[in-house]
Amino acid sequence: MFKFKPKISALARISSEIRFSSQWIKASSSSNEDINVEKLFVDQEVQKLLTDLTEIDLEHKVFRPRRTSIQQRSHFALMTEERLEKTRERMREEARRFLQFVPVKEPREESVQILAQDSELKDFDTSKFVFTDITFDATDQDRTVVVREPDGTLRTANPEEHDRMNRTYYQKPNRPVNAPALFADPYLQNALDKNEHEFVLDWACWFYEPDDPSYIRLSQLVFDRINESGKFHVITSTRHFGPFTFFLALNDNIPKLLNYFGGLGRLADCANLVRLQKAVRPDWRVTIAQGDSDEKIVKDFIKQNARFRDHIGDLQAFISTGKVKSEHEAEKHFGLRERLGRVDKRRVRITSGNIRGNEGPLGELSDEYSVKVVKSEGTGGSDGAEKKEEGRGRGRWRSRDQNTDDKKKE
Amino acid sequence: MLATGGTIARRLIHSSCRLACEKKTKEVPTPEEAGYAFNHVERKKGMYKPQHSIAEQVSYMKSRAYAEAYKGLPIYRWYKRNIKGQSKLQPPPRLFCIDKHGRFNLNHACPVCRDEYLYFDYRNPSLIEQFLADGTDQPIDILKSGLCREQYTLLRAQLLKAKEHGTITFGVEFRNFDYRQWYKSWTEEPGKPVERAGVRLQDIHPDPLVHFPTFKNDKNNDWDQWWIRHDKFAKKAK
Repeated sequence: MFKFKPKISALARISSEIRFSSQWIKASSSSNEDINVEKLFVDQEVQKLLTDLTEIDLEHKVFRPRRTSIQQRSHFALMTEERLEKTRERMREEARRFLQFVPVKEPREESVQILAQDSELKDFDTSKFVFTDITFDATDQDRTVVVREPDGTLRTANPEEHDRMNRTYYQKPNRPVNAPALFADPYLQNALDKNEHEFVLDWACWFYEPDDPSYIRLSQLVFDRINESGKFHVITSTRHFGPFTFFLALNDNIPKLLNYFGGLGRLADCANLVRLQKAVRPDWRVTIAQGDSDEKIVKDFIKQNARFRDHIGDLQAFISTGKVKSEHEAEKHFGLRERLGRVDKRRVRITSGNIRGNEGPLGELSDEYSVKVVKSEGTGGSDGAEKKEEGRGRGRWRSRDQNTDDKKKE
Repeated sequence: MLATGGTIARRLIHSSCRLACEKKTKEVPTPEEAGYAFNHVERKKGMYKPQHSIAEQVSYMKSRAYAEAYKGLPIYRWYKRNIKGQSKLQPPPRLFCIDKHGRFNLNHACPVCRDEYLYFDYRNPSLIEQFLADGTDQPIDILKSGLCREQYTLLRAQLLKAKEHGTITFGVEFRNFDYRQWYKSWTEEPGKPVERAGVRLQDIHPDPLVHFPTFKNDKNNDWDQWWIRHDKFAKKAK
């Protein structure tokens, strides 16, 4: 066993040689030169842009309730504003660790090493024998797995067999030996229809190694479907948003995502996305000067890419009118706007100052009718009590408000 | 042991008999339209449980008959095992309610066996979810659910299947990547590994250091001299 160990360990996970075609760049996208995708992904500028593009949504994304294997109580804490802000900041720090990107890797090599060929062992059995090193100090990556073929060849296991042996001997929760049915199509599409993209990708990166060809295929499939359907909100603020954006930028496919950011009125993110595209594709036609503002970068992009005009309607509307998509939609529905207006009116706080005016409960009728304020028995009682003792439960706040109003009148 | 055709027909619950007759002529109506949702048979021992498709089960669980029978509560909520005494001391759950011939073994079947439309299936996650402990992806205790062993095993099997088919989702363990292992040029140390549900409020928001005196229980002190000095004043009986 130990004779060939140094030979096998030479097969490192990190492959140094330059590839001629990347799995992450589609054949349809216009690229003829070779790009080292892995090197580009770990580039500092690209990492910074990707991190900036990934927003942190604590409540609805990173720490949203999920079904866990243990029951937990909810915790409540009473804290001051300052302390609350500190706690939020620490939660955000914690969330940043949960947003660590899944490594973008090229598919690993499938080659195997032939260690021995013993022709005398030929036809010893009809099936292969797999030998796995399960000593304590071997890690999942450098574990020795060898296979004896029925024709007497002893070879190292290919990566697929290697991972399968890892899953067999070192079981982890939710990592069955065979891939779950969720990763194949009828069920995958059902899950994506329910907006469970994050669940699928999370499980895929737990189940597969990031350089597994099946993982790369699956994640690209999911990314493509997100881009097609325009459901970007399902993947923002997750650890997969970085690889997703990187994948789109590599394939020169950003207009839909740009439109999504534009529809939300996030111009800085739009500019960052254009910068990312430029960083990933230096030969790209759009030029970005050092001191350009966000707006100028985005406007230049729109001007120079007229072919994307159909896809970026929301972004153009935002730049021209300064209104985000939801506002535009609200304007379209007249009834909705009416309702919004009514809500706004209700929001105006009625105080003793404006109760007689137009903003009061009578509205415009207050011009014709004089408003008379009569205190009901309850308030009258509290009024009396107020003189005797201040600071009793609910009445205190109400009486304070009244006091300040009275002072203003004076 | 084998029943003749006549006895089988007699043992069938009448509602399902009507269903079987309808099947030949036209499409299966919803339970609502057919009006057969509520089963009036009180003593089912020796009768066959009707077979229904999963589509029928799903439509039944949305129907008014289901809502009226269970009032929007989990189906085991008002089920009471027929036992004497405290629920803590109840006998172990029964092995099965429906025997190998498909007949009810007893009159008071478990909450899933007794309802003719219900059986666990991964395509109907809403039934399985009723039996999950709050906030988890684990089934509740068998004695709490009141199920028979057979149904409980089916529950666990279908729960696993539902997870693998993506109809029931859960928080997958968080995988911490060490980038140095994946990229040659990466030199930065990875941060402290994190895990889902591993963030505790007391770590994020540590309580202020308030010193509370420990409770002093009366151990190893001899304020009570009664038994020590007992010999001195106790009158020994002669």
